[in-house]
Amino acid sequence: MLNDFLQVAVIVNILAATIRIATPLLLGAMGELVAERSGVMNMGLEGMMLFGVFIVWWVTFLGGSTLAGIGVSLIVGAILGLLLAVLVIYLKVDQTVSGLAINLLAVGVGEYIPRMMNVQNEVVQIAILPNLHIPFLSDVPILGELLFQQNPFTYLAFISVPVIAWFLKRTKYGLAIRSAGENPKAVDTRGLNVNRIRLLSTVFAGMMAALGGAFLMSVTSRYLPEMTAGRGWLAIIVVIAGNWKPSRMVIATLLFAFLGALQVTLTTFDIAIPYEFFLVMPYVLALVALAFSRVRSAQPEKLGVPYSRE
Amino acid sequence: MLKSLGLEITKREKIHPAVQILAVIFGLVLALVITGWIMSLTGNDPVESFKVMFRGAFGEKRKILNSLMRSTPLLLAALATVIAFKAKVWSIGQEGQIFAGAMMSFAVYRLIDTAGLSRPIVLTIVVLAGVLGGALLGGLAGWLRTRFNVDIIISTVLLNYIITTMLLFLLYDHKYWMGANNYYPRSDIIAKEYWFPILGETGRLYAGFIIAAVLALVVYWVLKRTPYGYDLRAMGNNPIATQFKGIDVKKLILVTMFISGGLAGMAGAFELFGVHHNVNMDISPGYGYTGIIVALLVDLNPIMVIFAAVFFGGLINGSVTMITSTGVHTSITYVIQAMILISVLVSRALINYRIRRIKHVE
Repeated sequence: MLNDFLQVAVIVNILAATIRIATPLLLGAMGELVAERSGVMNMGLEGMMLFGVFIVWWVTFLGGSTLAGIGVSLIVGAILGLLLAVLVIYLKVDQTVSGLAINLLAVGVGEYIPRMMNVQNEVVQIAILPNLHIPFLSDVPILGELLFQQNPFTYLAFISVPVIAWFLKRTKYGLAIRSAGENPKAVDTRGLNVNRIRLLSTVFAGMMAALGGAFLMSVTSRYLPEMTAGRGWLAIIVVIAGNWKPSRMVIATLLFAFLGALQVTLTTFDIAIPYEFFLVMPYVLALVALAFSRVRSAQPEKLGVPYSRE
Repeated sequence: MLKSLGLEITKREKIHPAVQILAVIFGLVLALVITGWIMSLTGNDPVESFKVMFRGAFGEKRKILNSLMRSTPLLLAALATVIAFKAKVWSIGQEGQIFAGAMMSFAVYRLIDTAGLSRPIVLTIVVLAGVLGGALLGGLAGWLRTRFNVDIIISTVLLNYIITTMLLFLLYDHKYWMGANNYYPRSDIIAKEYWFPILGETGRLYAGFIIAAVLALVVYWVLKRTPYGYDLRAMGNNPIATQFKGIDVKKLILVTMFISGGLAGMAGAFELFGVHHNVNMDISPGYGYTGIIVALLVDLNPIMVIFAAVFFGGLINGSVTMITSTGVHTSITYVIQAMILISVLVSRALINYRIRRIKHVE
């Protein structure tokens, strides 16, 4: 049986699953990175992702296409980002509490609407987005299957890493965002609106989180309440464990995703390790990673501190 | 934009208590209106549904008693929140700690269930075990914070997932806790002689609510009158100054997480021996999170928490009547709770400011 497991096909399977599972984590984490760099801790990420899942289901249930569902979930993500931004930036409500409110709202709406609208509990067929085979590259043995036969979202997630890294580091908008998180007073002195920068960054984080959720729905096809199961929280942890640096965040994401992939693949084998063990591994690893990733050198100076002029 | 209209926004120095109460009431009404709108989206009559819900919660003696029974875990989780949040220790681990409490009390019960002990002794032991279970899980998050600088919010969320997955594991295996003739993840029923006795001849109220209400008074007294309470409030008001005053902040965080977890853990033992009588995944359908809302709604006041908990307990109890007579699913209570939290936060934040006419132009 161990021989079965060590076959190349199985390993390729696990690695391909790793890339797939990394997708929503990476989308959520890259959005969170932008918000945190601007000084806002988005603790509602889990709820925003959950809304992304639910909206794709709802739009499809009402007869829309998967793509329309993805579009609407982007809008809803932006609205939720706006709500969080107004709460924490302008009304100066505590960030934990504001995030909690969004998470609870997502759980409630995501269970209530499906139960009431879909009384017969019929399975809604969500057209799964096809994998995109990149010409030529996808024909390369092993590597092609791993990297170039993936879902469009997956490409988007991995491309977003260098793009956002470049944007934050090299553009004047990126500089403004980073400065809003490090030294908002200086940004204000230069005549830029700190709160508006933070608001836009938080809206972006909401859209990325919703996109992560939309991806989950468009590869799963069957809706379950609370099906994000903590992925939003893992995305927040990815940012911290990656020390607010995109390249390290990718490594952290792949590590979490690998554990998830092991669970998916190994449960199809008859292995004596209980299924719940794999289920719980990413969370335990997250705790350990947080305990030992004590380098917080790149944490924005004013993360979580509302800005006021006096 | 406001300036051109001759208006400006200023911060209020003092807020009258009546204004604060009005803000909360306004928030509650706003939340009910928005939830009502969501109900009408799914084709239900919101006014009728809320009426049914209210009657189901407080319409007759039996229903009031059951609402009190439902409010017990909320009250304990809210007190756990009060202790932690007063110190600005942002624990959202109450949900997991309720489970940890139920699990620890069940584990201890399995050791002593055949020893022939009397009911009061067994109930005392299992409730203390529940307190210990919750306290250990809370203490673990506190230790991770003081030893490794892991954020309490994040560690408590992770521990919530970890503890419920552990329970799932125990309940899905006949070798462990899964009941002998079950195919569902739930344990065997606890022997009837060890259940909490029902108070009164109607309803399902047991002693839990009374104990929790007394604990609310104790928490009030501890916060107000003891050195620990003083240090805790000092840390909440100004953590840096607290350090300079020679207060051991690390110890304070650990102790606070231990007590907070213990209160939530007690709720787990109560739910197990007073309500469910077996361990299952619904020991807490989000009571920990609701408890946080309850505490925030009354601005962390340990006395007012009792009333807020009864209100939310009624909401949960009333929603059961609502689903049977109007078909509105009980999950609407989560929507109501979240809407109440958001709208009360907003209206309470807004009363800090006022718009006035600019008097003197520079």
